[in-house]
Amino acid sequence: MVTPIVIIAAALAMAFLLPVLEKAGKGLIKTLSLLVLAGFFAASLSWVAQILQTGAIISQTAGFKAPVSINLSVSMMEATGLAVIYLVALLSGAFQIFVKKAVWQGKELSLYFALILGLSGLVMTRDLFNLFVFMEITSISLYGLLVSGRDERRFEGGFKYMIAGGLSSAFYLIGVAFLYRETGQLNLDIIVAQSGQANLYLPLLLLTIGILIELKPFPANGWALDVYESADPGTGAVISAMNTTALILVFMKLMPLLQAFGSGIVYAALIIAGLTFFLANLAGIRQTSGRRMLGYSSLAQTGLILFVLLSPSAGLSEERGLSIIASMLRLDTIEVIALALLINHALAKSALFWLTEFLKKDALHKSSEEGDYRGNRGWLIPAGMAVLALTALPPFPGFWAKWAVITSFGAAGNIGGIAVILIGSLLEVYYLFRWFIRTQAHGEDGGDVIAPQVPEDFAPEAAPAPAGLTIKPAWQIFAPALSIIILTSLGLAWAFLSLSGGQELLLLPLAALALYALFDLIALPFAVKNILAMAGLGGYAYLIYGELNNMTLIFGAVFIAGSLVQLFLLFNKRDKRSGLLPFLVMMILSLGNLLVFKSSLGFFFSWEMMTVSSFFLVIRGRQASRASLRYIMFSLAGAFMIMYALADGFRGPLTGLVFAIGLLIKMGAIGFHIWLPGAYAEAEDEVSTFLSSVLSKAGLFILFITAGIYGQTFFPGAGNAFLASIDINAILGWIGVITALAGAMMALFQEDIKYTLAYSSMGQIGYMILAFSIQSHLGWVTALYLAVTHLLFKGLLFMAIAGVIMRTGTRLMYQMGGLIKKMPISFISVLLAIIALSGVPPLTGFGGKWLLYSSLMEKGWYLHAGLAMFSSGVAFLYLFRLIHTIFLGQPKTGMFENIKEAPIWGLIPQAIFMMVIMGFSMFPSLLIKPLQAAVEMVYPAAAEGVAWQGSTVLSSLGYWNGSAVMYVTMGVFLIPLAWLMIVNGRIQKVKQFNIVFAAERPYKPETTHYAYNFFSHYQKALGFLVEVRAERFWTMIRKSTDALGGLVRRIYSGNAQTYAFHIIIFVILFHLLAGGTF
Amino acid sequence: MTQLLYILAFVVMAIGLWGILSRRHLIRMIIGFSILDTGIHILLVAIGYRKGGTAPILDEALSKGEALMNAVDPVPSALVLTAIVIGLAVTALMLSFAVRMVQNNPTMNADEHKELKW
Repeated sequence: MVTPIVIIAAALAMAFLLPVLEKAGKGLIKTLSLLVLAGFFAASLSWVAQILQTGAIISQTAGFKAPVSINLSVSMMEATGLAVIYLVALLSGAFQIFVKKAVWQGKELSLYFALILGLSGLVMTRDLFNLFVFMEITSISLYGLLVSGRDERRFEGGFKYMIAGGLSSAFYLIGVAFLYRETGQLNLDIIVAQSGQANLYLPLLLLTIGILIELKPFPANGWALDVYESADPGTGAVISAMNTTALILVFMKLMPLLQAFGSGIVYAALIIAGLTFFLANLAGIRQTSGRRMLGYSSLAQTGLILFVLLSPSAGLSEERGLSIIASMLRLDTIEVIALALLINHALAKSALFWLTEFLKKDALHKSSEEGDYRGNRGWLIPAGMAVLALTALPPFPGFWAKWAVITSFGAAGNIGGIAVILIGSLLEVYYLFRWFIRTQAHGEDGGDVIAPQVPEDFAPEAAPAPAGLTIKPAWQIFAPALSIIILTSLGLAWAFLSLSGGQELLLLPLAALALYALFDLIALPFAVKNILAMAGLGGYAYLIYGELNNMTLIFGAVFIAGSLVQLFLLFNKRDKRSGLLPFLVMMILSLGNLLVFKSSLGFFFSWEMMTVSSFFLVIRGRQASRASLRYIMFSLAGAFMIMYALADGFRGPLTGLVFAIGLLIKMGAIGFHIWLPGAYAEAEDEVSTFLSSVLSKAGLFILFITAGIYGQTFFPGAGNAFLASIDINAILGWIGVITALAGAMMALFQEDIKYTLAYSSMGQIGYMILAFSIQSHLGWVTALYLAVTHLLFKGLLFMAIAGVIMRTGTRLMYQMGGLIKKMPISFISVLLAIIALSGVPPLTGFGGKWLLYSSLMEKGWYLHAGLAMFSSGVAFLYLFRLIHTIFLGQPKTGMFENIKEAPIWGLIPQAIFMMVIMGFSMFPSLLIKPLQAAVEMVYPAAAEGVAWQGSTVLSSLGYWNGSAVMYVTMGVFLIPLAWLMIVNGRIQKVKQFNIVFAAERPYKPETTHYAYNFFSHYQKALGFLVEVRAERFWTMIRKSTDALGGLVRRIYSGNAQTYAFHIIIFVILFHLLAGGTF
Repeated sequence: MTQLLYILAFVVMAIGLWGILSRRHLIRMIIGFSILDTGIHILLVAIGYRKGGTAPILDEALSKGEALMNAVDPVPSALVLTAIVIGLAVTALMLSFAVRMVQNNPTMNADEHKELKW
């Protein structure tokens, strides 16, 4: 083991020797530098091991004890923090030496070692003046490193940095001087130990301000943004990861002093940290430079870590993984949380800074550059993972730390803290994901992510180009990749510790992701991969089958069996489609895990995994930029609401309401639905069917298992009388029926077939919410019945339409027509599906509608029933349009003459679903009896509900015999058919544009096609109902957030003197917050 | 006397700060920094000052006991030396950055160096 002083000596020696050794050879100094950096990292790890055995390592300098000489101390927090710093230092050194165009030479490496010397000293020293010296060494070497960039503006940024650094060290030094005057000491430990008879407010205030300015607090942080934007990305990573980590450790070192003598200062710092986190994220959304945006994110993350450290209640969590790690490292829980956030930020942010080096341009908007933005494909995986880590999504350490913080706040009733963190995080999600989506967008993806895309053009879509991710490893990205690998391993370790108490199953989606990504990497043929995926799903189903019972079994069948059948569709794929199966299997397994979780963390983990995997499925679409951004924003907003409710422990009706809203967002209920059509429609055709038929049920399932909290009786006497009187079920009922109506109405006026189906899904989900909210035996059976049958007919529709789009190359309905002869099987499957959907006899949909109306009548919700009936009528209209404009009429001349039926692999799953629909239609009891069994646990059938007579189902309002209905309808259908067959001979066939019978001759007959703007007459009458109010509302929200962000960032005027003035304002503000007077 | 030194220190610091905040000329801002530093150095020295004290050199003339009573506190003096050296290094770097800024954009006015903002 090396003593800490050796690190200082070695770094100093390197700093002096490197310029000399450079004469001997460039290879020599590079190798030597990396070896020494690796040695530093190893030393820090050995300290961790050492401290576990013997406690903190204290090394005295110059052979005297503490007050006379300076002592260095490394305890567990410092050792682990230094390990992070040295790790980033090693990776960053390697990156600068091997990758950069202008690699570091002896000069820069010498400065780099001086910087590491300064940072090590900052972390280790216990002497306050010595701290000042190390601060200056750090700053001066950083200023030097700033010179080694390419951006001409770096000197301007550096100058502003120096102004801020100069002021910060001035405040710090004055603080030290006063502290020495009051206590006669410079050693931190001795000052803390001396009981405080002296008034240390002023010295501590100045001291804290000195450190805080270096940590870039609001509003004194404009200089930092300018530095991040103009500095070389490597240097940006150094500042953001290494410098910040060291300074936070310094701040932690000062904390005992502050807590003992300056509680007002702690409070002020807490407020400033929260403000910094929130406002940096707010201003971050307006950035057009990627690096400046990363700078804003760095400010925010630093603020977050300080905010958590200073919050009195942030470390209360008793989460399993956290407790294990804390006892393993002998740290407080709050220290573990801070450490996790530090590691998460340091590794992910430095990886992102390094990755910007490979981007052709440092810009966010399509308008500011030409052509394709994508560049190196191997770039995307680490970039995506780093974004996930920064936004605290699983499995990265940030996710676990954030969960611990939020649940701690929840336990302490710190709602304000939760709100600051979650809203701020959502803003960060927005700009980081927007940046990521922008960088990976397909070349054909039109315009800015934000600008709406109108799917109205007469030209058929261009020939399919490979969309989404393809992996091409490039060795240059080794540094960010390694950084992300280490971060992921740490996150996985935590995941394993957290879930090891009987929830190991929940880790399977990650294992699947890794496994199927490996299959992609070794380039297995797609068919083999698909078979493996099916086998994987089968194995998983077998694994969890034992844990499922009534209700979970039904949803298990929907999630897993439903997906398994639809996987057949993918055999169509001839190309590799890297990345499709890993995320698809991960999503299905995460859905399955929603059935078997055992703790609220387990639930939230699976929920987030489902969100992440489905996001990466949506983003694969060729024009899915905008849709995927909306999808992730709304999904995470919903998830954050759920997180709040879980953390709050459902203590009041408000929590129940927030939880319900979180689920409604995920289900795409009215008002929150604007993410839904894009996500379902713009995803790849084969993926849409999974999203719409399977994924959409996740929210419903959670609604079922949490049903208890929506009743009025769940929170008896809960504080506020008004809140207690809210009947969430009544709200849900109205939301359900309005969603059903709105979905149907909007589906009516789409030209794009996939948008029609997507809106139709929204409407169907509305029915399910409505049926659920009835809260009776019959209502629940209806909701489950609708869920199962929706899987069948919507899967059928999306799969059939996928085949049609594949053959015709268009999604616009008016460009199709007359396909019945070319694609008869697809026609039959669409016909069956729309009969099942619309609720006319004899297929399953009829049963669904019958059950729905029965249960609504029983409940006495007549208006709901009327509206539901009306929306069914509307649904019938769009379904009619669907089959009419695609399959009936005549084929477009010249366009679709050589079209074939959809490939066999598309037809097999359709056939399976058709058979199931037929079976359930003939024998409804096959489906309804298990559903009843599931519902019986909550609502026994005895009192109300349905009874059975053979296979005839009886309700209080009537009866339904599936087989009889089937026979009658068949009869009604067959007789006119027979008559038509007989009279068929008399038909005169007319060519499509043969308009001799009309009195005029249109110039362009195609534009008069009946299928274009098919329901214009209804649009005139009812169009006001579907005006895009929700869209407008959310656009307004986005624009006002944007404007606020713009307002905040305006204070960063770019003038060095204004920044200096901000620092003065910060000092005054801080003093006032700390309770000081003038 | 000590009080006077404190007042002097704060006046010098205030002049320096005023210079940084009010002068548009880059070089004058840097001079402001130097003045601010000087003020801090005076403050440090003032803290160690002892009225009628002697140099803290232990020899025949000054025993350990006498040193505790009469000698000037040597620690702030040592600190000042370090602070002066650091201040010099920072000033030199600032001047060199200012030179490079002016090479890119030939004006000494800090208001005109605002390429990076928002």
